[in-house]
Amino acid sequence: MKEYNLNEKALIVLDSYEGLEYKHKSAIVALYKNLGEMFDNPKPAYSYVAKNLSESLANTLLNSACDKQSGYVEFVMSKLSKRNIEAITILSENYPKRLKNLPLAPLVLYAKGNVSLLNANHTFGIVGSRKTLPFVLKTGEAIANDLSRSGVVIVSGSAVGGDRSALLGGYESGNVISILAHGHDYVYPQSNRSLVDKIAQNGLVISEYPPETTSAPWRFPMRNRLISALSDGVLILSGAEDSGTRHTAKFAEAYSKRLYAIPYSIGEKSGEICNFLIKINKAQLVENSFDVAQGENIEITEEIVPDLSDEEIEVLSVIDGETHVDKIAELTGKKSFEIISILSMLEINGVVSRGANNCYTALIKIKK
Amino acid sequence: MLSKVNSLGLLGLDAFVVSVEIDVGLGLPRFDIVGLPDTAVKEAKERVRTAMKNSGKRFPEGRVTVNLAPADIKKEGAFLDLAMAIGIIKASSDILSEVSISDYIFLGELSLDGSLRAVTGITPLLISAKKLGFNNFIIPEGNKREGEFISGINVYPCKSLNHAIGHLTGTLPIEAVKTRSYVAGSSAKGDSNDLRYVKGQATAKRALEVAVSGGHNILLVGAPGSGKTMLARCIPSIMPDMSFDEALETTKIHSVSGALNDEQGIVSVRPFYTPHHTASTVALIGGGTQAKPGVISLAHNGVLYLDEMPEYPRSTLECLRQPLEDRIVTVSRARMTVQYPASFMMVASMNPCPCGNYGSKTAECRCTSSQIAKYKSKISGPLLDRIDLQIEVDGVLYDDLVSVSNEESSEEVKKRVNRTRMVQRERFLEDGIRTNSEMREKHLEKYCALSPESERIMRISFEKLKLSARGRSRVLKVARTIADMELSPDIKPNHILEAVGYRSYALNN
Repeated sequence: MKEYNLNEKALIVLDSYEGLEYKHKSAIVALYKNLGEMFDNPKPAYSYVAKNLSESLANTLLNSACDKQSGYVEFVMSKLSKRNIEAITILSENYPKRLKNLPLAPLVLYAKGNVSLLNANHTFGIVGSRKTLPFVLKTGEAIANDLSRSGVVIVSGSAVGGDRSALLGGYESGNVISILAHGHDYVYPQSNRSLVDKIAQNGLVISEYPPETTSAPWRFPMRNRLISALSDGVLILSGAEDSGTRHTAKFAEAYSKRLYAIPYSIGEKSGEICNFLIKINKAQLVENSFDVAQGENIEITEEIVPDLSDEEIEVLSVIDGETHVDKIAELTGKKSFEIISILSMLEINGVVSRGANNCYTALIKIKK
Repeated sequence: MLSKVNSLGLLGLDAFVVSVEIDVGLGLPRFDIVGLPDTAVKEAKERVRTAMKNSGKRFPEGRVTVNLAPADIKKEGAFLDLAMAIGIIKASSDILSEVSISDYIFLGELSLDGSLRAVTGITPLLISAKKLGFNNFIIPEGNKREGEFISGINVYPCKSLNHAIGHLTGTLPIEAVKTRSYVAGSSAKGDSNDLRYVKGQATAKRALEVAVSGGHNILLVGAPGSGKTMLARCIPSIMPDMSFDEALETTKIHSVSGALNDEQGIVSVRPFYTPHHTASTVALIGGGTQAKPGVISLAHNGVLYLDEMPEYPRSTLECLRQPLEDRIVTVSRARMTVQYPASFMMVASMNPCPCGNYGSKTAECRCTSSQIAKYKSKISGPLLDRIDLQIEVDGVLYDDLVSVSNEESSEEVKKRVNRTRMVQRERFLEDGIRTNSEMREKHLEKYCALSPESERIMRISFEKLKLSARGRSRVLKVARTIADMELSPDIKPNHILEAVGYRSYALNN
């Protein structure tokens, strides 16, 4: 079990009060030279809360946190240890450096899993809306997979769609962080619970909220700010104009992170944000992991792709964007059943991905 | 006087001998039928009496008692009428006194004017009775066709009660029906549903051919108007010819349920049934007080097409799981438990989401992800697992639509399908199955041994594409069919890969 020093304990206890807003908590922190003194000298905190908030909340604070007899501190700490949650306070050594100078930097991060990922050398955010086209999901997964295998830590949310594809791509190598918009007791949406649990085992799941906090609409943009802040570069997979992904893009821009976006065809609703970002020169256009690797200046550890046969190379060379299987057959002059088995082989080898409506996308580029 | 006449009773698809015993004695005029008759048999009293009167035969004035033995099985249907009338005549007059009727089985419903009406269930009755050792049958003229396909027995079609008596006494001998050799029928002729008219869709057509060749279940997923229904309707035109055995099996069921075409006498074209999605579970599976066969049994050796599969009540769909696996359905009712064969090829179609446009590049999908998940969850995993081929059908390009390219006609495809089925029939000669889709684990072991290279490909696809154990055997079966289509004795890697390619829907979603 992790040991916390007095200052850390005080911060964790302070963070456990839902009635205290961020500005009040940080004001209380500023009252003390060492926050740990709060336990012995509750006066300044008491009078601050009584003055700015309410007398009753101030009394609660006095009777729980600052009263050793109440056992409140032990109660809060045991809640964390029971759930295997490690609290990382802004005072802790392993608090992510990328977040330290953030306005509204979380006072405490609740982490489940491999906390060393928080200060990884290279982090990369991949986000997308819930409505993402199937072939984009495959692309997102492939990019996340390639980057994470090369040691880049993938950062994403926990939603279905784009976020899920990023998590799926990253979790095998363990270089993945999922940031929740609620406490660890919940997973929203429920359908991602097993994936999030797996990431807690072989990656990292963090939240800036105490475990029992439920999800609320305004917490999602707040979470998106953390994704942007924690990442060195952010890839926007998809998002309509009104999608939550726009917050991630906005924050990334505000924090001067490198932005990347997948291009979409004209009028495609799920790609409005991406095309807009590319249009105004805010995001770099990327189609695959190599484009991202170039922008991020990293070498992708190439997966050992089995030698492709001439037939396979021929098929691969005619796949241009999302290409229909009948079109591929027409271009190569092969029968459709020959094409299907070649494509299955390419898919198994991770060279192409299958989207909806019998369309295939190449995941690697070959010289024509 | 006492007389005894043989007739039959029907229990599911099997017949049992009903001994119709008639006693005509002194006493007040009375007519009793004992031996567990149902309503139709009880009402035979009036039909028999009137029919005899109108045929110029005297109905005995005295006490007539009819016993239907064995007494503990319920007798159903009106086909015992003829046997009763013959028995009463034999017991009460000397018309038939010199004639031995114990060699004959009498079947037929009497009309009030003495003529014989066609009845249901003749084919299974004749087949079972032949096995029981009976050779001579007198049946209604209207059922003549059904007697034509059963060799080794004498079937005498009769127009009326007098006609039957004339035959028995030798004054008006009837010629036994000539055995007709079986010719598989064709549904393709003059049918507008021909693959020739399906433009483009090369992949989907290939998948259909594979499915039909091996009798595999197939699911077509696609947006509205993409041609799923048209493709499905083309299936009868490429279905392989029905063998005599298969035809007879199907005819039995059709005969029992009264669905048989009188002109044909045998079901020589593979049935194609498309029950509406409001069909009740009983209609689909079989049941009712008489445990009648349902649509899935009528589709035996044929196709059951479920259009818009998610619209069927989930409980109804789940009922299909067991017959899909066992190819037989057991219908149990209070009075009886009957097994009907239900070896059908299931063809289903569905949209990718409630609005139908998910994944489409031209139209926007209006569904939320939870709506799509809910729609898909209407078809349970176990059911989806039983569908060997799951393909996506997408809209045809306008250029393809107006092109005059020569598409292959159903007739040519059918030739190949017939050949592939022949390969399977020869292989399974001793196994009691006919198609690759019917293979069980032991058959897979015997006929689907993989070379090390194929095994390697199978292993990789298994791991990479996260197939279930059942998924693996499904892929193997389809691969076997694809190999058979090429007349290849071994399953090669490309066969496996193609088979894997036809599980797109399950893998993608």
